[in-house]
Amino acid sequence: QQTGPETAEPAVEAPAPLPVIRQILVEGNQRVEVDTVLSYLVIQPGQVADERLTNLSIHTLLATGLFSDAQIEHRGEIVLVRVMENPIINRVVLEGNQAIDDDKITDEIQAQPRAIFTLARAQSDVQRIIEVYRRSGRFAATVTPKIIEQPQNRVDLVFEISEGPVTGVRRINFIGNESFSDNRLRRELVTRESRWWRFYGSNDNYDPDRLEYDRELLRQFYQNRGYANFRVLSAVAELTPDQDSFYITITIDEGEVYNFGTVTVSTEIQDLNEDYLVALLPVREGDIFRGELIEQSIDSLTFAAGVAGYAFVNVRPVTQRDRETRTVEVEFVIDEGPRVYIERIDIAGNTRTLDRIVRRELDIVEGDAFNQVLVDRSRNNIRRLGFFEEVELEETPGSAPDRARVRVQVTEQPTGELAFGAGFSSTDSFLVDLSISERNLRGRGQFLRFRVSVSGTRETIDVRFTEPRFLDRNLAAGFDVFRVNSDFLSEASFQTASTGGSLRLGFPVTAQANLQLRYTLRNDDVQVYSTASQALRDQAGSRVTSVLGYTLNWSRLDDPIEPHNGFRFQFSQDFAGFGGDVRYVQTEFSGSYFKGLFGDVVASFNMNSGFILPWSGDSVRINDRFFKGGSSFRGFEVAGVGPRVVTRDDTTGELVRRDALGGRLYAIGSLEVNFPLGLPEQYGVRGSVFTEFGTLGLLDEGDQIDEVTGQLFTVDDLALRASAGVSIFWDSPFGPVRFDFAQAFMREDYDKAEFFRFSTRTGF
Amino acid sequence: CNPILRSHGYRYTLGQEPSIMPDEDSRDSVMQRLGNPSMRGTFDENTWFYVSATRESLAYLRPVTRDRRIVAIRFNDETGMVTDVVEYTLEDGRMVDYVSRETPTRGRELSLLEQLLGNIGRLPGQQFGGEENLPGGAGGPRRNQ
Amino acid sequence: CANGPDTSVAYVERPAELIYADAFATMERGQYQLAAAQFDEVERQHPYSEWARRSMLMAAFANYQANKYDEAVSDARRFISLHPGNRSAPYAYYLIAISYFEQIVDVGRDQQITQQALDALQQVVRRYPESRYATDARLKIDMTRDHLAGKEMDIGRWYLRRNYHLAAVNRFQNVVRDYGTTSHVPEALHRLVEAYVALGLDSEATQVASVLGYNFPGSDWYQNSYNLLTREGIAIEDAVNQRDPSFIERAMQRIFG
Repeated sequence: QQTGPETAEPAVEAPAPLPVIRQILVEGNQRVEVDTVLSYLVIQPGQVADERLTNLSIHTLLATGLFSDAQIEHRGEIVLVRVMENPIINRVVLEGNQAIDDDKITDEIQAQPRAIFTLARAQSDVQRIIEVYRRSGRFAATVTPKIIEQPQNRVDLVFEISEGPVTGVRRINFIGNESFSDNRLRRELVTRESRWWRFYGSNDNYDPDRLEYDRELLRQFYQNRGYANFRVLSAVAELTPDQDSFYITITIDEGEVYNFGTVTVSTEIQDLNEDYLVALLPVREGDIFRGELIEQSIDSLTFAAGVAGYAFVNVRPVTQRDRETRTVEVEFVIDEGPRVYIERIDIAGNTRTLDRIVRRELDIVEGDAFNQVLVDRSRNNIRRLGFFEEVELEETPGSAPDRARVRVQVTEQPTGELAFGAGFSSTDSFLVDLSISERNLRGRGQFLRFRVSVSGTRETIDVRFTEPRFLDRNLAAGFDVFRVNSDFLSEASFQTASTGGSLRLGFPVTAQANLQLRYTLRNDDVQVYSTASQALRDQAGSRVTSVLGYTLNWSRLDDPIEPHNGFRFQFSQDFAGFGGDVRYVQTEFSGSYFKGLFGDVVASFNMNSGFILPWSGDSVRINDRFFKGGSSFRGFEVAGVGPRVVTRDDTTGELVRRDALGGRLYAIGSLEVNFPLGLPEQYGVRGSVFTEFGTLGLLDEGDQIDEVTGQLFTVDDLALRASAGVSIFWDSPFGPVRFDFAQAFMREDYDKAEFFRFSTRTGF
Repeated sequence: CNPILRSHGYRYTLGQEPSIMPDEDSRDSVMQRLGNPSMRGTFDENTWFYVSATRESLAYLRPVTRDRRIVAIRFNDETGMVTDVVEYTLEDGRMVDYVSRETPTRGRELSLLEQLLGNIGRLPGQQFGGEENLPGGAGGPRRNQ
Repeated sequence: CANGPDTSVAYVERPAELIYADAFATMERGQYQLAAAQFDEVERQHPYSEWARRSMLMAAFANYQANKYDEAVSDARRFISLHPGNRSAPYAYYLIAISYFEQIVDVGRDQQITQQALDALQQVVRRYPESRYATDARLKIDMTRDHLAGKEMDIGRWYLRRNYHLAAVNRFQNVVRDYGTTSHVPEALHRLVEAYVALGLDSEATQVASVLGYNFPGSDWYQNSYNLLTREGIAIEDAVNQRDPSFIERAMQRIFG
């Protein structure tokens, strides 16, 4: 006998004592068994059915989703439970969906044949279908559910879908951008303008979430280039009159370029010496303001505090902007944080990638002090792998107050790729390449690529494999196997077919520089036209080249895509002769320096040179010699510069140009100024004025033939050549197109000049 | 290129070198001053170890432990008082070549083909930083494949 | 993805037991996917018939045989929600458990499925301890726990080989403490000996080695520990008998507690 609790309500005459339940009857159930209904009831025979328990029972019955209605009636000692079962879905029919096939939709909705139908669930399915359409860029889609009664309490659920047009992005315009072109800013965004051939990526449809993320990308872009006060005033998408795509207009206020004002560090921790810490910062007063420098400063301060024994600190930047002097004062405040250790690091979501491939990217180890900077750095390391859609590192409480656990939650993404590219140029005629690659082979983070590329003068087939963390160290090792047929018949009347392989090792020397060691073994089979000079014909046949080499890369550019400032430098040497029939030392150097002049005008100076020195009496064969011209020396044809076989026309005394011979030494410099042409931005047209100057030559004695009247002879006098001209770059809907007009105003009479060159390349 | 130094395990705050005295300190006083130990004895709850180490890594070379300090504190089971404090340094350490044999485990290893082919899910949009992990990315295999 | 044999069954109204018989025959022939579709058909056309209830479970079984684990689990779950008291409910729970169990992947990858399998198997044992499913479930529970222990060992070894001894010791202690009855305990003990020797904590090393020797005298792991200790000049013999036996009992208690 349950006695109700003494409630504080006013005294009410006690209700008639409720009878004890002797039996519970169930009515109206068709599919659900009686004992199933009873098992969900809170009241049991032998109890007194007071009001509270009855309501609770009804509530639980409805909560099962099995019933659309449930009532409980007390008839003395008998309790009657009357239920109305929800109908069962007989069939789910989708009508009106063309763009998205049924599977994609049925995956997203809950309604399944034989499942129970509830109105609430049908409504939520409608929302889900609309969401699917929103994600694939159709914002005008509408969905209406229809129910067709069927016998035996079953229903057919029909979703009538009207998809509406694809809302693509017709054009993205920027207002208020003076120092960066629309084109450059467009490259920062993730939303793409719709192009007919961009049917693979669906990022070229309008999605407000993505536009939100674009605002953040723009803010970061500007803040890293000195625009401390940059603001996106508005990002508006208007539907075009014909309703099928959007015009997106992003108005921004660049604000002024700010520099860093005074930079100070303040802390109460006595042992940390503030002046010493300021010296550590990558920021100096007067430098251009850059958002990422603040992040890096926090990193280095937290690190310095850690080294000094204070593992548990947090660093807060306090910034003030001074509009007149356009400077940003920064004060870094360091205070003691809680002493917490990481007791366990779990990695979840890695359905393909091995645990250790992710764990080796972490800068934290179990047992270490919890340090947010290292956690963030670890997250970026994993993101940089490119294997995961999302990477989150979550701190959760550990088994003790001073213990924490880190959960690394990743979501895998497809890392296999099929890439196809095509190109056309006035010299190479056509170029086609196809490659299939996998970036996360066997979940071990290894890279494998098969590639075939065919063009007018060259066919290449190559396989490339790289293990980024060889022996689990910061050492990238890999091999290549290649087969290259190059055809220089028209220029130098020889053809080579080289087959071989190479092994590579690469590692970072500093943050911006890396060194690569390589060993290549290849067999070059050279065929020569029968009409070529005797010297050339001697060099025909196949020879094995076994060469050890290294390359040092050092790059400090402010922007890898369109550098405005900074320099790039590469130096490589190859020593052929460790076995094989060919013995030479080849040294090559290339460097470029960029300087932003004003606005979006950029001047650049490039220098490339190379030298081959044969050793132990060997001479350098034609296929190992340098050929310059075409894109490597504008104003001259491919292999149009340098030593050449000629004859003298006995009547006019003119030289008749024959095959190019290539040279053992080249040095080419170029000065170029690149500027917008003032045309409206959306045409994406830029121009540049340039001058190129340099030389190519130094034939071996063995390859030289003295002039004998009426006979072939060689000319090679390492003279300075120079050209000047204009180039036009057009970012056309099909891909980048380039026109070069160059006049070789200083050249040898036997060089082959070329005034106009044109090339384009597209890939998707 | 300068080597990167990194400290692991327990961190002593500079300038306040707590000294633990046998018979004076108890489990609570040690816990209060040093916090939880880095590790306890495997079968002996009354031995606490505070382990700290500094490692140096240089370019592609394997990281090397530069110095290590282990403070081992033993307590009397009943009284909970410290019975002795022993300190170990890097010199006490030894080079051990770990046995390569492993106890076998089951589990379906993804076949090479399954990994290579099961993954050509999409054609590459432009390889631009944030593009992949954004709503509305291109097709890709069905989510619950 | 390839969707196998045509699973869309013509929507023809037929008496329940006829469709059921067809479905059963299809399953006998081993065309599990088609059979599953046919069992679904029974339930769809005659949701209230006795056959509907039976075919719901048969569909689950057919999907399981066709390695369509997700479908099998969802069918079985639907059966349990509609007929919790039914006498074949234990089988439904069991089917869910083995559907997860067979998807367990190698220790290098996420063990979420292994955890789901463990939870489902433990449900079978908790709800129906006397059923024959429980005996098989208990066996599979041990294998699943052994697999989870294998994951801990995999990570422990990774830390050990990189000389992160503290991280490694904690991982191997987890195995000894939480997975005391699995096949990985002997190796975990030996790895602890290796770590302690590398750290120079000889007394810990001998203590662990003696427990390993006492409980797994014939195992190769004890042999490895023995060789390591003697090579490093750490006396192991006297360490074993010096220890009062009660210590070993306490240690055993902790492992097999």
